[in-house]
Amino acid sequence: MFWQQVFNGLSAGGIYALIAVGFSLIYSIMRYINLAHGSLIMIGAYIGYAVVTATNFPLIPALLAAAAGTAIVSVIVERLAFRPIRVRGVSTLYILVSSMVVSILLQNLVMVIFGPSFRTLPQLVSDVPVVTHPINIARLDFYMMIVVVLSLVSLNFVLYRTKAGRAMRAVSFNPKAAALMGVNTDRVVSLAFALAGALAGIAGIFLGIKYSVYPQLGELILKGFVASVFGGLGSVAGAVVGGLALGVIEVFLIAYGSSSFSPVMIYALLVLILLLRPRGILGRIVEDKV
Amino acid sequence: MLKLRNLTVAYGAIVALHGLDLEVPMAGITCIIGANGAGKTSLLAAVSGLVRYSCDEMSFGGKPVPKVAYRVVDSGIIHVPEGRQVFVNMSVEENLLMGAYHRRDVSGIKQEIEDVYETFPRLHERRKQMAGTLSGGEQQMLALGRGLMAAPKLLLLDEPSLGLAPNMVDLVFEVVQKIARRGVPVLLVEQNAAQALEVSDKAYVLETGRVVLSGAGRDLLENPRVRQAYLGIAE
Amino acid sequence: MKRKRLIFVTLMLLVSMLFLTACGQTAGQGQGGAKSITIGELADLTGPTAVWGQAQDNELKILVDKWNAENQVKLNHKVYDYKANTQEAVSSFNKLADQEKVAVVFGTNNSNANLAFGPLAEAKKVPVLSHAIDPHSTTPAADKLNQYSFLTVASNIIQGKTMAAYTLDKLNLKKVGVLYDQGNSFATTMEQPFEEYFTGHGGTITAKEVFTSNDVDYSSQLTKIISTNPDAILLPNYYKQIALAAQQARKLGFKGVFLGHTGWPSQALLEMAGKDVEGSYFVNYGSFEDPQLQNLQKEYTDKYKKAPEINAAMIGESFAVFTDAVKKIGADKLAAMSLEQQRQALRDAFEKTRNVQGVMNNITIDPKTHRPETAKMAIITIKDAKFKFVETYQVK
Ligand SMILES: Nc1ncnc2c1ncn2[C@@H]1O[C@H](COP(=O)(O)OP(=O)(O)O)[C@@H](O)[C@H]1O
Ligand SMILES: [Mg+2]
Repeated sequence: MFWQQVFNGLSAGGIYALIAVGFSLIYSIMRYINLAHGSLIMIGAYIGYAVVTATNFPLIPALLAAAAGTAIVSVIVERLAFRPIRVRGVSTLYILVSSMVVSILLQNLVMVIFGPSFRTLPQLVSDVPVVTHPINIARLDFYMMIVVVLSLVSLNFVLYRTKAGRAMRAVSFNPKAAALMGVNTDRVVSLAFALAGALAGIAGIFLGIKYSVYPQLGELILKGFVASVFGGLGSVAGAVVGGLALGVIEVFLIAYGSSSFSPVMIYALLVLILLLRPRGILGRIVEDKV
Repeated sequence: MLKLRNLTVAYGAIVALHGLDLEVPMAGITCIIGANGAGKTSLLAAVSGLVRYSCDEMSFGGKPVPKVAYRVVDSGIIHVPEGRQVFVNMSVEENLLMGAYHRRDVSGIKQEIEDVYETFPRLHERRKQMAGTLSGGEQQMLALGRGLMAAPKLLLLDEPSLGLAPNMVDLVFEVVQKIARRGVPVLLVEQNAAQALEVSDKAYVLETGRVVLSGAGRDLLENPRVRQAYLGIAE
Repeated sequence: MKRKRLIFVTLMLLVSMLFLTACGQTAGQGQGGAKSITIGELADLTGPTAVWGQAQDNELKILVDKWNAENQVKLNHKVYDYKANTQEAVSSFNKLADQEKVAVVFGTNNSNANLAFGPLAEAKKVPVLSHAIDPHSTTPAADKLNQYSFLTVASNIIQGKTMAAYTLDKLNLKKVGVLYDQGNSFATTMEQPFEEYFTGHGGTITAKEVFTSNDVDYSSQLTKIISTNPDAILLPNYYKQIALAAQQARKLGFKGVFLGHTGWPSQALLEMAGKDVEGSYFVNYGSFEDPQLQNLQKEYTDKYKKAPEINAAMIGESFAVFTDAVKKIGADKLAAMSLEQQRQALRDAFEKTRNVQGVMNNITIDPKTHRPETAKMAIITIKDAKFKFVETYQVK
């Protein structure tokens, strides 16, 4: 049972990590909290649902379609809802509010188009477990882990090994100086939102398969938010570590503690970690901007 | 030649530059001196597209200067901002590569980075180090090197000696002269008037957003008004 | 600017004048002097349990239309969407009571919502007919009775007992694990009587695990439960939670039976987890395979071009209790009363409900608990990814 529970934790944690990474990416580059990220994940799930029911795509093309579709929505959201505020240079608090409004708007939009009921994605992944002994590893969880690892590796590659990634990080530290190097900051911001959107789309498909597709699916962002604070807000690696840690801790609190107290315990633990390490597990030292 | 006619910059109600005329030749060092708040930074920021402005003419080599920062870079005007503004959480080398962001010639960039390391051996020693861990003087070297990485046709330097130890200040002025000798025209903004005028071929004196004096650097050194107000020498 | 303000002030004056004149009328007079009784309804039309809320609202519309076609005194029907959200439920209840001035509120299937506005119903003296299953809706504490709240369908106490008895006597399963939402009385109030009856009659609860409403992954709890080798797992939850739990339990290798209550019957459950819940058993208020419900089903399907959920039949029970009360009081007499009188008269009549033939059960409301104390229930299984009516069963 121990190893089964470890795997259960990693499987839940993988989802949290996927949610947290996109969210953290925007925070690390833009320094604002995009509350609409959860709704983007939900949009990703619906795009996946619409594409798969219409075309019968298998898993990989479905993932690509959801990633591309959500990336576009994410870029549009930034254009319409965040850029005008950013350009005016007013407090990021306005962006927080704007992202909340966008979130509600997207939820209602989906509600109007698809209705409030739960949708089930057609079976994209076979039911046959990868192994059943000594522990049960569902195929979906197995694939999901692979995709989580792949997306994180590619994100890291983009951020640290490409010119565009370097520009993104430069904009995150000092947008004015980046502009003086010839960086079109608006384009870079769009690219960051496209990446975060693609991650949201991928997360959306997996969430949709695992937990079904419904307008409030994005509320799981709360877990992703906790995970990224856990790991260090604004650190992509921290988001992964935080997500996996949150998943495993949650599972173990239930498995070896009591399921009635685990929700309280997990937040108590979060507070404790923040008291001991205010920047989270892997949080980087962020220079204060003058 | 960078040519400005009737350049006006205002931040809301505060007018920083009141219709300024200025010419920067395509060789040597042109400097602008002036007290704190005179409008020196605003001038450079206008040229590099960081602030909005109005003017009758702003041209570089006969072509109008674009109004958006990232396009100005493409025209070859490179602005090394006040306070260094290096990317603290990136390595020295990554900072330099960011300087070459607008360039496409991979081999040229490689050569450039070697040249910068030759000019600033300290940067070569620390190339893997995060820029935030460098000393102030080293960060200024990095900022200059990053500017050179862009292969500038005109380099705008905003107070490169500010806040540095005296020996570092000398080094900075040496480097600036070296850059100019290599054929890159420099527009140098300084509060350190004595040293700036010493090395400049041409100079402007800015007071509350207006040019009050201009001429050859050496001539201004002799000007009584400059001597009194900027060099602190009573006649 | 000044002009605009003047227009605004004038408008406000006009609106307040309209209000003042409206308040002067007796409750029963609508426009044109036609006699009417205003009834309110709370339904989840766009929230997570909208499948049920829409069925409820659709059927109530049919019933009201039918009444209005046959009667002199018309029913004026106001519906508010509470989105299965407790706060929304409270604010919607207030609007129904204070602005819409309804004589009765047809409550919800959502126990938490009912618990939230129960005290308001007491304070404002507005009678509520709910088809929720939480006994606390009418008896919030052992010795306390909500004077204005009524349940018209089998409470969770009956459901828990019925399912426990059926599991022991008919399914012959003695070892059961339980997984439920600890924050939802919809689940907890079924689990308790189930456990009491089950352990009191020779069964064993091998493991009892909980989760919270927003959780979607129960693998950890299920791993723990499955390790105790139960014959069956009781899932007294909402359909989405049931679907996820069943899927996850099967993934973890569980081969046994799932048991449940009235959170189960929803097409959405079958769509989400059809084959995972194959062979499960649960209790329900009734079954559309039961000939008794054929009529309702036909009317509903004709009008809405889709099959009803059982909530349509449940609101039918409440409506039966309501019309019985109206007839006993006399519709004309009721319409002529002031709003306060209407509310009081209906409340008193609801308390005296005896042998009223509802859509599914013969309803008698116990004046001591404001809910039926016994009911025959339908036992449903899932076969070939379809709900299958097994039999009706009444616990002794
Ligand atoms: N962002 C700004 N907002 C408002 N006023 C500014 C801003 N930047 C500069 N100023 C004002 O413009 C004037 C010129 O400033 P600046 O160009 O920085 O001068 P210098 O570089 O010569 O010290 C000063 O009065 C300064 O207060
Ligand atoms: Mg300045």
